[in-house]
Amino acid sequence: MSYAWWKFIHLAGVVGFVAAHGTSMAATVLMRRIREPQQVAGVLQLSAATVSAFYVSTLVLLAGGIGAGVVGQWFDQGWIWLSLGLLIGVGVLMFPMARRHFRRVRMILELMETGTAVSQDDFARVVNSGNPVLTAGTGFVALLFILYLMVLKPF
Amino acid sequence: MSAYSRVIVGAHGSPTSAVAEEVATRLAKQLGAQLVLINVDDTGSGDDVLRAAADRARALDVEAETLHREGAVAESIIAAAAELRADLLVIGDHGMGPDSRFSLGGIPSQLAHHSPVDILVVRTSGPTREHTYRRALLATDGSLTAHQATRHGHAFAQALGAEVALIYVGDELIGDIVLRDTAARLERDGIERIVAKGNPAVQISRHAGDYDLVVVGNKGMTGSRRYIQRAVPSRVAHEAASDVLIVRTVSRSFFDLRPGEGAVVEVDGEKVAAYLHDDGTTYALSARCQHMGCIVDWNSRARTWDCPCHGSRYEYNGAIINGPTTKPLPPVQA
Repeated sequence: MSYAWWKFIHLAGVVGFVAAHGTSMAATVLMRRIREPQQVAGVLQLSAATVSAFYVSTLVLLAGGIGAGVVGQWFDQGWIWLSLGLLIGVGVLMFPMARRHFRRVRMILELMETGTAVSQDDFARVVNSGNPVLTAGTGFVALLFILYLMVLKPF
Repeated sequence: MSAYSRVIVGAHGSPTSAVAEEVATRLAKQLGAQLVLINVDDTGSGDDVLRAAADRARALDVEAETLHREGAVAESIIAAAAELRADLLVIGDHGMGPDSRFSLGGIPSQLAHHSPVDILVVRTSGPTREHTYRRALLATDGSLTAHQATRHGHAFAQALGAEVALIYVGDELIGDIVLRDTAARLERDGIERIVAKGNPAVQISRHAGDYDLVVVGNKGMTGSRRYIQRAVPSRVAHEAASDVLIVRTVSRSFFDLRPGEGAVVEVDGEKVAAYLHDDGTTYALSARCQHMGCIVDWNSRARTWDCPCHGSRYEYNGAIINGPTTKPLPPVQA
């Protein structure tokens, strides 16, 4: 397969990744402003609906990127290794943070549904407990830096 | 709420059995319950063993009913417990120590997994114990079945005059909320509350050392999956230093369901989401969420099947209430 096709697959993966993950990131930030459990559940559902698309697009992105790197003989340059490392490293770092927060919110909603008494304050405490702005910000900066490495290939 | 009205215990003439008998006898006396001594033996010595056990019970002012059966020990005790409508089965822990936690056999282990009633695992190995329950630890994860277990454990502890504490293992924020709610349900605001981090079985077992009795629900003790991932109550029963009361909170067959109740039951090793409608119609559905294959939970309040992984919800008959799933729960043959 030609370099252009690998690049196409990679970019298609990027589009899917940004669309799926962007929705999830927006949901995380949006959740902080909501106090109505049903609305929070809706936002959570929206985020959950993107999970499969996120995993698939990440795989496509990686496969396309690695394929393009091999065919284009980029693997003797530093930028591609750093990009890969950053993507994996930030993913590994962010995944437990996001998972913990989403799990917490899901748990509180489940508990409320099964009759556990949860005050407004407790609910707000749980919904605000994650640090979505930091998580989303870290991801955004990392993605921008990867974009810089990809486009300018500085080293 | 009464604790127990009929206590059944195996009498087999062994030192382990003698400890379990004594605990069961004292409990029957304290709770005003009927004591049933059962011996399963094919050698003909069963009547003598039962007579001696009944005499020991009489010495503690308890008149026991005796029952002799032949055949497989665990199966016979389980059948007798169901037939006699016993509500507590007392067993010794011989062969249930931490070292045997990966073994699948053993009579106590079989009884713990298949008992149709609550089961009290009495520690007969290790240092000599009094088996007098002054401090009980009630474990909860905030689920409806856990509430049942804590309510029951609390009633049991109260009947014995024991102090109780609550433990939740997991997220500290959620734990704080769950334990406050549980304490309020038990109408015990000043109750000791422990939120621990880590593996639930390990943490409960670790804290059990400070108590005489640990109370857990039986969620996760049934089904083929228990061989791969040992359930919390099962591990606690094997590893806790204290005696362990396993409250049967999870229905295990269609026959256990009451009208309007749903439960994930085992049919030929497969998880089935079973629901018994008020009009008597039974529904048997695949318990696997059609989104990513997680096992759904029964939500008794909303009468829905809820996926704990990504929030899909289904009607009692499997129809979709909300996604991310795009397919209903399919019916299965049961």
